[in-house]
Amino acid sequence: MDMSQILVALLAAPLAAALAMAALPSKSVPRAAFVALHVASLAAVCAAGTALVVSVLTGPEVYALGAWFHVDRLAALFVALIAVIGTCTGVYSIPYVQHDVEEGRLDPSQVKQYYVFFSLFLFSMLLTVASNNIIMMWVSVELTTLSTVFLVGVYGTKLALEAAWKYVIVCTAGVAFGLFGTLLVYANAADIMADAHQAVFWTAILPYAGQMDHGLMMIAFVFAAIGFGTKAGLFPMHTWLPDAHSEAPSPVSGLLSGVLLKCAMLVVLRFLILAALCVGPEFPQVVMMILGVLSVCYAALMVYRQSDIKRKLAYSSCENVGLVAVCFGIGGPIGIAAGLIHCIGHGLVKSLMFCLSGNVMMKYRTRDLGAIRGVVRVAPVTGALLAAGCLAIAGFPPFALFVSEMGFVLGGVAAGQAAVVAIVVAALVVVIMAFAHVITGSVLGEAPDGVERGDVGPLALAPEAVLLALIVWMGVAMPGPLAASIGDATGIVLQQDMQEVAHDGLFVEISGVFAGGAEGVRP
Amino acid sequence: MIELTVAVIQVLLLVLLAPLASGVTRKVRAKMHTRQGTSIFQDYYDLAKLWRRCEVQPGGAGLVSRAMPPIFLGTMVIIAAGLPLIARACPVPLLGDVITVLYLMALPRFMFSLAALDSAGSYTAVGGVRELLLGVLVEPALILTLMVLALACGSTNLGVMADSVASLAAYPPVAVVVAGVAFACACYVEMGKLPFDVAEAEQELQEGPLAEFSGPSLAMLKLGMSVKQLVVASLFVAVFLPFGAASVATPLGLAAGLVLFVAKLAFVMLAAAVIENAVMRVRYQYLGRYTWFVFGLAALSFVFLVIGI
Amino acid sequence: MLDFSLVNVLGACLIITSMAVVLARTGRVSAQFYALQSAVLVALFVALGAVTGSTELYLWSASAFATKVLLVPGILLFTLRKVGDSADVDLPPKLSPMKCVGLVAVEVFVCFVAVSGIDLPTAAAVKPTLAVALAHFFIGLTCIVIQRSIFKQIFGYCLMENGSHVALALLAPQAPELVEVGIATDAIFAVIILAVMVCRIARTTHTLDADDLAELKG
Repeated sequence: MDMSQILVALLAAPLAAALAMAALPSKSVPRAAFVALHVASLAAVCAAGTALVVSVLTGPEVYALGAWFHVDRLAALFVALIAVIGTCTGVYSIPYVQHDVEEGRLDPSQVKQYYVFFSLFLFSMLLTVASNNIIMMWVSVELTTLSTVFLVGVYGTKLALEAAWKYVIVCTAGVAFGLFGTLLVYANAADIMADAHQAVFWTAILPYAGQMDHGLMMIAFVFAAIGFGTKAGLFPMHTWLPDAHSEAPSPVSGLLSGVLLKCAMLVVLRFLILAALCVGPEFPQVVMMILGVLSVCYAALMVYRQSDIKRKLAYSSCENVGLVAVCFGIGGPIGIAAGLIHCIGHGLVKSLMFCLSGNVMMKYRTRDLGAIRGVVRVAPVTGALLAAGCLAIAGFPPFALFVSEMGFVLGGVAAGQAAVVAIVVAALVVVIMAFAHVITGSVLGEAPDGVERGDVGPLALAPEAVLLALIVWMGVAMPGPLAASIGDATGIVLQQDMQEVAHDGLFVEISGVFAGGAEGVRP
Repeated sequence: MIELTVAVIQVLLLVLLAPLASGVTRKVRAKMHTRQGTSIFQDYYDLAKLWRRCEVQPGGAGLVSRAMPPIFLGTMVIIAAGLPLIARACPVPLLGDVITVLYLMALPRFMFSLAALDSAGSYTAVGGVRELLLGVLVEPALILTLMVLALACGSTNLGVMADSVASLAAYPPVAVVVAGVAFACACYVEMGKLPFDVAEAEQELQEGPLAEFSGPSLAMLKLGMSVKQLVVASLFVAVFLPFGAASVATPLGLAAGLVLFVAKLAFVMLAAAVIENAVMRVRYQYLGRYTWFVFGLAALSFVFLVIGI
Repeated sequence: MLDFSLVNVLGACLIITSMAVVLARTGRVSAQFYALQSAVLVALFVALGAVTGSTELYLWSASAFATKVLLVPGILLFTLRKVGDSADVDLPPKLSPMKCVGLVAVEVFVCFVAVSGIDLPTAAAVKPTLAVALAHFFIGLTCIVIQRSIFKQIFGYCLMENGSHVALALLAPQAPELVEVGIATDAIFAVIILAVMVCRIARTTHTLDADDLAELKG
């Protein structure tokens, strides 16, 4: 099968599943039917996604529908992220929703709403990552907001609706800024290029980026950074994040935190590439650095303060996205590679943690960390996974985030930004303290009396185990193809041939460390 | 020569029409309250009656109280002489400058408040203070809008401004329109009609400062206040609605300009009367809200002027 | 008369009508002023199309008329009817009218200063209107921030969308219709979803006061 057809199938499958589920009436159709369609959608996404990613990482880029869709090595990383995490959280949804139905928190129409919008959400994220048309990039980011509003508010309580409203109004208003930036870029490109109709395509604008008006591009990048940064959760546009991610169902929170924020960062990255080609890399890097450092510092302090487990994890997402922004701000091959690794690693870790928090909520029926004690005695497997997850988030080896944070430190020092590195490392220490406290306070300790002993079902544990295995694999011995693809993606961001990058001695050494002894980046 | 005639005609027109205007306003109010109301010429009879009465003054009143009514009426007459009402040029160019007009309008207000304090009555003093308050609050908007128009027309002479607006040469257009709206609101406040008649405030202050005057002084004061309302309305009509005023000083053109001016003025006063009778007096502490809103509109017109829209 | 100065005049009318939308007391009147503002927008597109000679702009003005003048106010008035008595829609904004007007004036001025640095050939004669388009962004944002009733916050979003449309029309009049259609469709969906959320919140919590809906803090 032709790869572009697989790409179209990848996009069409979750959309078709969502429409099919929407057409079924919720009252008369049993829940199993929705679950079946949901599983079919996940299977299609997983299969098509894997095939596409493998093809792109080893072969040429894929275009589909003219130049409307385009998956290069950079986008392929994010497609893989969506496929893996989408499947894991999707599988986790099944026991979670069943538990909520038994508890009486979800009625049949809300279950249907959940599954329909879950598939629609996957579709919109795939659309964002794969689109080449900059206007459609914006439309699909809006679509992610619109498809997740009802997921965030699915429980229908006052707090859930409040969180959903704040989410939708802040994100649509913020993304409107992104639209303004997109329009400025489009107008500028349409002016310069011979064929104005080509000016919507990112790949077509790329060669002309150097000729664009400098002032206009700077304004456009700032607007895009603020606009799509709102969706990514950068300070000070992050106000919707803790509420939305804590009120949503746990698997959805995992998908939101793990994948959606990164898709938004990808869009920012696309604008960063254009801006760097036009005005040089210093200006975009300064913008990203400012946003990133502010996010990391503010969010780290808030992580420490929270006593609600999901809000803690939500603020940790803010902090990690800030760290990604700082990595992109540092720039250069090491910085960009560290940022990309952090995107993937954090996606895996955060979805793991949110699924585990779902397990904890299923047992303890509360989100308050003061009441959650002795998890390892009540539900041993969950407790062990939770301890491992906390260590992973805090950035300990042998987990994936250690690799990216080390890369960040080395890259920052090599780029002469030692002050920034010092500030961020101080914030990271606060985060370590916060999650160590979670381990000692919640995972260990005496179990409270009212909680039933015994772990949750295997279907609620298998996805987390898979995610943890991937995290450890990435952290200990990153597979060669993955390291190579990260190197290629870095090359796309820097718009340099990887041959030149590979001659940078420090990069080769570090990537050798990343790949755990393999030869590092293959040019 | 012809300018002098025009000036005299303008003065006589406004002074003679003023009691009629207030009479008609009273009749409109009565009709809106479904009453019969007094005759529209009642104010003329009142003025004639007052003129024949002898004057009584409070014990402590001094020169200011005696001088105030003539100064009030006189200043209004002088302003009326200088406005470009009938023609698109000022009959007396010396008096037609915006800054002169603004100062001349501030003078009677100042004298009014001073006389109110001079008579040492408690209600009159309160009325005088409120008059000053109103002046302070409404002057910025008046000044800003007239400044915007001056910049748009390129001159501070009211005649040149009127000519500019009438021939649609004022640039930028929207700034002028917004300034016009702001100026209309500010003029309504300046006229001292409900809801802004805080100085007299019949029910609250027993006519305020007017209570201490009698006889010819009261007649001059009442006439002066009616003329002031007409003058303020005429200022608005002259500058922002100059369409139809004579551009060349031919007798036919001047006659046409006169008729059109009276028509426009009647329309404006009628509109003001209807608005006046549909609202109640604003509490003087909340006066600031309305005047600051008008000032905001004036500021918006200034921004439009600056950005050239 | 039919030249760029007409475009600028219509741009100023946009500001005035936007201010009316923000300051209107009731939701119904806001919706009507929004329809008026969109009508001015359509007129602006037509004028711009006549001046630049771009036929796409006429198509845009037709689609803008259908979506912004008819559809969006229709959806919002329908929402008002559905909310009905279950919650109080018409709450006064947090900022007094004078400060609103003053803030709008400042925003327009700042945007004009920002725009004078942009140097695009299509933008040379219409810089004031470009400043107006940019200012609409901030006016919309102001509306969202100062409104206490979440129903009126929807108008803030609609104003921001109008600003982007005008900016696109000014900077790239030759753009294919698909771009405009894509953006307009997305805006309609956003308004529909916002309206559905307002209905649900009114039905569940019986309040549309943003201060009441601020329990989640920190």
